[in-house]
Amino acid sequence: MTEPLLRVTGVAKRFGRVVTARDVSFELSAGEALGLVGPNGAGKTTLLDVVAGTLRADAGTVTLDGQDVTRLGAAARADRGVARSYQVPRPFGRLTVFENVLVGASFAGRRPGGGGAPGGRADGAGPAGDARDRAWHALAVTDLTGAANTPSGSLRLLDRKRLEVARALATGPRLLLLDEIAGGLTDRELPQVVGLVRRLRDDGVAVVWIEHVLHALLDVVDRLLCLAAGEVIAQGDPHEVIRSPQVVEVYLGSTVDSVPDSVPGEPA
Amino acid sequence: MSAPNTTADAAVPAAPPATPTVTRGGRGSVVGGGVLVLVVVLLAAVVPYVVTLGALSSLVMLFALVILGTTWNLLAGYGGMVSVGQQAYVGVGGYALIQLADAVGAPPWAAVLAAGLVGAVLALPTSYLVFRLAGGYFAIGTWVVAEVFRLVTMQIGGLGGGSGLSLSAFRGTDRVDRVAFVYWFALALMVAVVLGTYLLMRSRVGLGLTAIRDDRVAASSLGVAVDRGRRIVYVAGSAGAALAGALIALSTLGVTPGSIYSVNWTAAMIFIVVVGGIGTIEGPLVGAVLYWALQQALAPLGTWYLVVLGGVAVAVVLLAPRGLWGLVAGRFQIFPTTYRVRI
Repeated sequence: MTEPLLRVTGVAKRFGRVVTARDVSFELSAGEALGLVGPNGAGKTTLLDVVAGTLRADAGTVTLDGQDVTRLGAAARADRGVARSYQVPRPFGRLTVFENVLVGASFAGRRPGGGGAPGGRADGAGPAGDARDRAWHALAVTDLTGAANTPSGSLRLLDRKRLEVARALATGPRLLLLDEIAGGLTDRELPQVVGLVRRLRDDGVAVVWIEHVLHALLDVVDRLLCLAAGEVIAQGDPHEVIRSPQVVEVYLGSTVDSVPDSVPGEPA
Repeated sequence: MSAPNTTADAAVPAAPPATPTVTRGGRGSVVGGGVLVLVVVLLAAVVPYVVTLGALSSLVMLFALVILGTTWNLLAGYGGMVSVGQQAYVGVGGYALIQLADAVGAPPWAAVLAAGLVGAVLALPTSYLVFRLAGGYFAIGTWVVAEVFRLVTMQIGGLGGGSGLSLSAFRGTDRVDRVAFVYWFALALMVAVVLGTYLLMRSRVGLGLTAIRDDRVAASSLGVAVDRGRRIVYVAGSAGAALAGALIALSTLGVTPGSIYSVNWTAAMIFIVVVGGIGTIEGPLVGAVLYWALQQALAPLGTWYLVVLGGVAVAVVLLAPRGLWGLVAGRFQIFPTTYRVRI
């Protein structure tokens, strides 16, 4: 059997007494999409941080293509094809939208032999080649071309979220980590995001997607992983996971704002 | 609320659209660049023959101020590092010049360049120390480091202790020849530093640096090597300060620890960059000319000079928060480092 693209084994992370990850393990292959759900404070974003290298795990390992990257920082992992969006957008405020995306297209996209990465460079632009083409393409698929020359600091929240995705796409990722990109979207915009994620996955990108808009998630993910208090309480087939007693209990026992639109047990 | 139809694969273009033209600068930068070239030619070929030796020496100070402002802007405006301790490298540059020219016997031009190198070599290990600090702590920490540099310099035997050193390499050289040499050399060095900074900021590395300035965490997620980028800026900026310090010592024929390591150098850099326009190549040029002109005009007024300087700084910060160049930067760039898409 071939090595999965991403393998997370026994990851643990705590901040003082607060445990945000405890013995978390999962795998993800190229062309697979994993949904990450759980109540607020369950440790979803922390897990993304550990995979992206923004945070170092206290214990456990992260491997990419069988290569141990646990000790590598975020930039080195970006060089190996990991890209992410931030839940609270972090635009380069004094740069324009285009320049923001150009940063993504100019650095991580330069790793040697990375030309085979699908998704962001499905247009065939080589790794050292046209960063500008890749940047523009990323703006096009996120519907941001009209704002290309706008200083990103003056964007409204929704466009900042799009910019997060555009920047990540411009790197030409093999593993894309998305942190709540659908919240606040209209019924017209939601299918676009779902379509985009599905197309990336079909192009061979591995996707981990944290999302509270559950019906959007269920439309595209192959598997679902539910976290609560830093522990994996269920993972596997999406519809089985959201119907499992532990998950239902966690959701009903949590605050109202984290209960998804579509009630668990009644998938769309 | 009913679940919307989420099966449509809408709005994702099948074929990527053609990238429109991306421009960097326009007619403004051609005209502005032409004017600047003309100014440099005038400074090189005409000014030395029509002004006094005293005026030439004071122009050397202007060129040193441009180098100081440009390199501090590199640190604070592009690297996001607000250092209050760049006088450490001004001092190192001054002392290194005199030691290299007098004790080692290097020709003055080579001694200046080597003094810049000494600044870079000292900045590298220092960066590992000060990079442990962030924000305000970085500012104070760099100031402390500068004081340590000054105190250590005074303790080293052969560096003149508290009274400093004077430069003897020009002994026997005609005064006119000396001032003319220092003037042209300083002019060339200033042009090289400004052009070098521009080319750096226009490059891919420069794009990464502005990303680091705006958001370090996001920059690293996109593959920008944050620590290496900041280190490059700190070392280059410190080398620039050392070059300026060497020029100042070369022009004034000596150093004292109290003046060459003075925090006033950094105060001048901050004035030049903040009043001129932070984060632009042109801003420090404007700021340096203004600072120098005020210095020249107000020198007879004694302490009032500082009061006026402070008043100007307050007025600019209130009325033009992006500095004087910031008033035009949106429409006009002489040194375009930004990208504009023609939609």
